[in-house]
Amino acid sequence: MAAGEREQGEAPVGETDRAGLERFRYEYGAQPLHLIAVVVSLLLCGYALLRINNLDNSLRIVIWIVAAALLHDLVALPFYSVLSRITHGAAAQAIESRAMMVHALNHVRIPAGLSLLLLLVYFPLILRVASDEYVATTGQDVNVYLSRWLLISAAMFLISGVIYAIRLRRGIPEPGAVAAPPREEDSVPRVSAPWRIGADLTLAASALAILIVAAALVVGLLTTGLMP
Amino acid sequence: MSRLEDLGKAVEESEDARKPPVPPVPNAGPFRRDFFTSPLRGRWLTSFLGSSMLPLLVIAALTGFLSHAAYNPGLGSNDLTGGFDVDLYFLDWPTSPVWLYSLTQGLHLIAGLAVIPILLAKLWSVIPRLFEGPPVRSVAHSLERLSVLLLVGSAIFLLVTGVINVEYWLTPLGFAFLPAHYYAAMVFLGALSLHLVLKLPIVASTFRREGAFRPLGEGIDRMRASDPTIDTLASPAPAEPTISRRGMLGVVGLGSLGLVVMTASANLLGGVREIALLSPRGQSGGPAGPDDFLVNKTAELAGVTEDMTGPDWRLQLSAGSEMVELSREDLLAMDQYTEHLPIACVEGWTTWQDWTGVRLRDLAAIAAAASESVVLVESIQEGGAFSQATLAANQINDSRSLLALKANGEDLTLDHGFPARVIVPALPGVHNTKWVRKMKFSEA
Repeated sequence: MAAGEREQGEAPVGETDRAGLERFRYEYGAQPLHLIAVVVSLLLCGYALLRINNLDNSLRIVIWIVAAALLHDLVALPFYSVLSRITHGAAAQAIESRAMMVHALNHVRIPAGLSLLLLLVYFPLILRVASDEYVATTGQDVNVYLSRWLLISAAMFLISGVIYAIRLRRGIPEPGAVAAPPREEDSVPRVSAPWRIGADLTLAASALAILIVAAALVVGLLTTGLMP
Repeated sequence: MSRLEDLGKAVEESEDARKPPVPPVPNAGPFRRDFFTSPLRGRWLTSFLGSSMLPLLVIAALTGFLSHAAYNPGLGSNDLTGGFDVDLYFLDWPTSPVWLYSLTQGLHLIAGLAVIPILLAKLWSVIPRLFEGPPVRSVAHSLERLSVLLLVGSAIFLLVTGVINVEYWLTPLGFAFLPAHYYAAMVFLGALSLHLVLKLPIVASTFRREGAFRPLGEGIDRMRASDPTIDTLASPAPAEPTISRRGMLGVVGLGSLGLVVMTASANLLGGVREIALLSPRGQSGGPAGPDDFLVNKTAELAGVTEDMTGPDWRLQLSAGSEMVELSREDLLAMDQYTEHLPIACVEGWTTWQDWTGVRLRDLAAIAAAASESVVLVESIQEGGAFSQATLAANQINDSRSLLALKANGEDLTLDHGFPARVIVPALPGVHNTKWVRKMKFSEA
């Protein structure tokens, strides 16, 4: 039978293939399919880089592409590390209870992170680094962005603070106490007296801050020409 | 006790002895494996961030190439990418629906901005990989690292150039934005194709093992760090968590949402500009009135003065060697049409106005142009990539395409293109040439 003959004849060839495959994997470090994918991908990139080479100031473009990756790694990593060490250290020192520390930390760092994100994306407008180009092109006022960013940041901290204060009043359970069934005498939140005073103060301060920010918003919007 | 300790030490030492020679990688700072202590890192987090980013990247890439097509790069000197040797754009950019370009370009900005926090989080989640030793394990590994360098570099390059371009901060670039952004996108897609081939199987197996969404149900108390022996992205020395994975993802999502609301969504299709507080185009155009809409480029910047647009201004129409000159009065004496059309800018903002003027196809008839002609429109503005544009036959022949003389019933202001400007449905904003001086019809 033709099929049988082929099978018989192919067995040793298959083994040679396998040995060759093993050898390839040893020398190259991955399967042949990997190499094909790499070649296709690098050819695509190579084509685009070739086109970039035809543009004016092409070297700058390539340098910017590579520098973008390196800059991110060299700036972001130390930034994240230092920031997390400082905030964790400060929060852990200031607040003994771990659950309390975690909540305080998050209620500060989340609005701070979002505020920094907005600054990262809009800093040319907020810090007026491109004010001449912006004004010349659009004919609009570039000065509104700093105050808007400050107000948005203030609002985020405020919202975070209010939520924090409400949580403090309700009481933050320690880990482990979560699963414990609520008891009759637990109707009073399980927080210590100083914390309840702190919570009340935070609530009062937040209420005051709401008024201030609301007033600032109205004044800000009026002066930026956003409202008629 | 001491005997146990001794035993432990002996085991450690014997294990050390069996290890191959130490690779030439410094064993300090981030090169120490236990430098990275976040219990959040792991394959699931990275897979989830990558998977959330993928649809956004697809939208950004598609709408980006569509934007290129919308400029009709095959006509005249419309193509600003330095010429494509393969013409991939077979379609004539349509004129319906009129908000088509507003939609595609709005989506381009929404997707691009929404990616920023997700990309930052994803890079954070894999940053230990950068310091892994040995730096080069094999040919395959070194090629992969080269590809990752291009992937990360081009991704950040695209986001940075895109963002600072819409904020008009052009000085730091030192090169033309448009072709650089265009070809960097190709570098990115080339590198992304390999990344997907290599990583999608890992994402799939991670989701099969851990559930695509199941870890989202774990709060900070239930969350566990991944096992570093099977999950190479997990920390070998995880600290106690200070936020859950879903908490972190929530913050990332909030950041994305914030950026979208702050800019693009409020501008998409000319939406609610009042909430686009930080958008470069979040302000109204000027003092309230019929001219209170956005100016792409002021007359002052374009070098166009009132002297150039005074009573001596003539519109020159030509087809072949014949030339017809029309004054503004001549144009106003023609049949006038009013259309409610958007100016949709490549920068992602849109403004809808009522434009009044003469039909482009009536002008083509006056110039005695052939029915399938294209037209080169030139501005009074000297120089600048968009002081001219070539329009396709379908754009001239659309009855809504106007040479506008008025906006909202009032004469155009100088900033809005007085004495006459082009307004064509679904056309990228800058191709609606302002301060039109010449229209040269020719057969395609």
